[in-house]
Amino acid sequence: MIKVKKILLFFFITVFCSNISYAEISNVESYLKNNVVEKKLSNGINVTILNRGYSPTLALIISFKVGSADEGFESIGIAHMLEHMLFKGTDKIGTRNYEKEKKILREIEAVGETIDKIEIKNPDNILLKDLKKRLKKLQTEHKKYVVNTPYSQIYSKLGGINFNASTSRDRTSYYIELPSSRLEDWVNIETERLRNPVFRQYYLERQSVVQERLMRYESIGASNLVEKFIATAFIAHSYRHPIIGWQSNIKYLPLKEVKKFYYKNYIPSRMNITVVGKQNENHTLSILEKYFGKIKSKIEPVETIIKEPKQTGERRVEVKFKANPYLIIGWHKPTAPTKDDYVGDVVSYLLSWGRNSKLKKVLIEEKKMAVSVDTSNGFPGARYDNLFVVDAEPKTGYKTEDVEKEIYKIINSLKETITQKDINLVVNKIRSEMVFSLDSNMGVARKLNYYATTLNNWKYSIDYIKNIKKVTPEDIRQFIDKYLVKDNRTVGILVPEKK
Amino acid sequence: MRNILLIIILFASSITYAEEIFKINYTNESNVQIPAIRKFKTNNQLQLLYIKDDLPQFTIIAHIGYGKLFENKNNAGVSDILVKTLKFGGSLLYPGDKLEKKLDELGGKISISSGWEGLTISIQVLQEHAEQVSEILAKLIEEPNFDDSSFKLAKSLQIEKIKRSKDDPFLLAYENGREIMFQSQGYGIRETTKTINSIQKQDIQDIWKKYVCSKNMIIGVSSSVPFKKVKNILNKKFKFLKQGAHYSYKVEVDLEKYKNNANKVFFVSKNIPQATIVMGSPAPSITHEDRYVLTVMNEILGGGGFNSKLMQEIRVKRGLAYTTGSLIRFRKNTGIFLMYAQVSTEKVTQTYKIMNKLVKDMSNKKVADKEFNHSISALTNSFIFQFDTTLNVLSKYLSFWYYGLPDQVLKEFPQKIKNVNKNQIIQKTKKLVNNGLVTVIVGNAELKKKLSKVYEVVEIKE
Repeated sequence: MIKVKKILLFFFITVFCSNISYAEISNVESYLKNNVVEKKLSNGINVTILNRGYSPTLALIISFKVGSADEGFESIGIAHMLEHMLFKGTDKIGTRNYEKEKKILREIEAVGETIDKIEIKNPDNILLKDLKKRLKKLQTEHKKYVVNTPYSQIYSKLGGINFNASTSRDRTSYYIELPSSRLEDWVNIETERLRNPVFRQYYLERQSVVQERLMRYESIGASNLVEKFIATAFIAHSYRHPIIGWQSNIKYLPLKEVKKFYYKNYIPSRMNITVVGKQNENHTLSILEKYFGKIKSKIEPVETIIKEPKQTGERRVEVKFKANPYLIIGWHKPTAPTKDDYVGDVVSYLLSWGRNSKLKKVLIEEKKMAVSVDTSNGFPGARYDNLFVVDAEPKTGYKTEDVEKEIYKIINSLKETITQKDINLVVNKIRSEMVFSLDSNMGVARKLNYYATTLNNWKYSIDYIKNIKKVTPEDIRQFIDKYLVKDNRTVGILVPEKK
Repeated sequence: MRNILLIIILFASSITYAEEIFKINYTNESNVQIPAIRKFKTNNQLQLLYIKDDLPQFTIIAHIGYGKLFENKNNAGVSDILVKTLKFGGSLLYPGDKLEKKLDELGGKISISSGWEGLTISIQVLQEHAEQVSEILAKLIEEPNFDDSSFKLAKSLQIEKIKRSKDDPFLLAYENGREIMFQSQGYGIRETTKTINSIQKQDIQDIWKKYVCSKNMIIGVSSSVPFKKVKNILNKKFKFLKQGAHYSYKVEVDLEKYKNNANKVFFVSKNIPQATIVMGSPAPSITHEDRYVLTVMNEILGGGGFNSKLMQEIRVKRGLAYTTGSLIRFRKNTGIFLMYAQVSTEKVTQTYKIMNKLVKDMSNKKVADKEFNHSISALTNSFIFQFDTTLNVLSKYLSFWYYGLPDQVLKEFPQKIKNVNKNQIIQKTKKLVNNGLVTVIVGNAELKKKLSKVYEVVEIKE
């Protein structure tokens, strides 16, 4: 009897589940056009929503159109530091008693600032020892009022995964995936997070950012080179700043600058919220308006007026490191959504997408000079004019200069060999890739949010194929002749340090 | 007495202060629907798993039961060479780059990879190319083109990869760690230039001949193409497969050798300002009764992100590291447990002591209610994400087949986690670390000098 019941139950579940109906997606552009809902809240926050999938889960992203490109010279690394500090809570979250905590926080900030000012001028100043002792004592006293990592705790209990954030040159994003039933909880928590963030445990967190820099840039040769390469390619524009800051300045980033940066830049008109997954769009919109709509709008800060001057001669930078050789080359070009940027995308695909791409075919298989080679169109950011980049790992026995020469040869030969058939193949692959990328909530959410924030237009994804299709072989020749030339390039080489 | 009560009440109320002010309903999700998987065995006993997808695409995955855990000290790296040769060689029908050219025409993509327990070939195309791509995959499996030039290229690229792995301090620590833990077999297999050079083309041909058979393979399909059609296509295309047998691997760790190594600090010199600490031990297999308890233990110790003890004690409270955590992996006949941290050279001793203390405490003291309850609810409430995409679900069922686990293991997971208690965590952690933990530290010469004053340090030459 029990066995029969189990069989019936299994059958019921199987039938029920297999009869769940989904929208058939035959054309990605139409699918997105017809299903993505975009709205501006009353205070200017931009919202994009897509109801999709069978799983009652949501991918949720809040992005601010602010990154390291918006930093001043004295505050390099501040956008990233702020991202870290937004995990510390508010006057309501992350604290056991904010009234008592406030006073200690003010003292911590005062002592910390004093230590920084003295240490920058004179690291051997005799006052520092006592001041550091005082800071440590205050931090110990402060501990009893702190609830560590409050948001992680709350979201884990709600069943959230992939709770994280990231800072790029163009934007700062906060993301998570949650069961759909937790939408209102998320909105409630995130609006609270932005209402009155308290930057507690600042000096401890600053220390872990120092460690992050050591891990990412000081311990890995290729990353170290790329950082110097970007700072060489951009001599004026703030894209030259490392997102994390320089080793010498991170440890003295002032807390008051972090606060200033927050109040100036984390404003509704710079905010993009994306919600993708199983939901009722009207319900989502009304919840978002109910909570996020209360955030006061502010005056839009002025974006950087510094433009990168035209490069009029090759630049080269070398980094010696105990690691295998590595090469990176970049050329300046206009950003999206210009025609040249679409052409750049096609050039990038032709050169390095797949085994039969020009660079991979010749360098890895035919001449066996490289272990890997890749390209990127739109490095290191996309809000401003950027770089077309090629990077490669030379194989043992081959000089970096030889690999470099071969890369230029291959790029130039593309002008002779490119046909419309090659471009059609690329378009075909992109079209398939667009379908495949609809497979996950977070995959779709990232794309929509990226375009909405960086290019102010999520519809860039709908029009993409249409614009790529317009690229011709002649466009490619002109792109190579205009941009991928010696006087417009910067070359970075990692030279293995001998023992 | 009254004062004590008052203090207790005030203390208790201060702990719950944040949550009372900010009310959140933490009730668990109870209606979780798992998408249906359909199963089919072809006439020659090839198992097929199918899941319906709403996207107009066709993904086919062939998983063959041979991986790095099947290798030995002498042929370490042979599964990597095999997949690379296959990638470059293609099939007799589509040799060399013709395979990818064909897929490019169809707008598809292929991935061929080797893992610890299996080789995986996966092809993704739009739905209208389902039959063509099934044929491509079948021919690749039936008649792989292991030609000399692809084989040579595969070996040279793998040797370069080995060289480059030494540039990454974390990889350096991890690979040396597992080599010592498992005494150069199983998880401890480490490919070197010498082992790669010793591999012959005949070796990969022999592996392919032996392990590629229907009883040692499974095909998974996620697609909008109806099940009946997929069944018919695969029945037709894969009828060439001989049945063969289902193969497995053995892992045996010499306990005395292990214990001897567990009391030392193995050191790899690298002149960088940040050190990497990796500690670990073998862990039980996926069918072992301890796995649920150890899953909870790992969540508390270091797998639970910012909420875990390692993150809290090392990064959040002391700012010593950016990255730290733990992981535990259960496999068919083996498993591995690891803890790690990357810290400045001057903070290594302090961090190492904290890591040791935390794992010791887990095996001696009951974890706090808050941590325990939090980990249980984190694991059970996020359960829904284990099948949030059709490919995720398919991957899970593919691994159940390989591990010989019943399908209901997925549904049972939340309850099994909820059944874990604190005493079990102490018992099973003690059992796990009873023989000690192997430690590998990658750092500069100054650090080695400093550690040698406190620990028995054995230098590894890389």
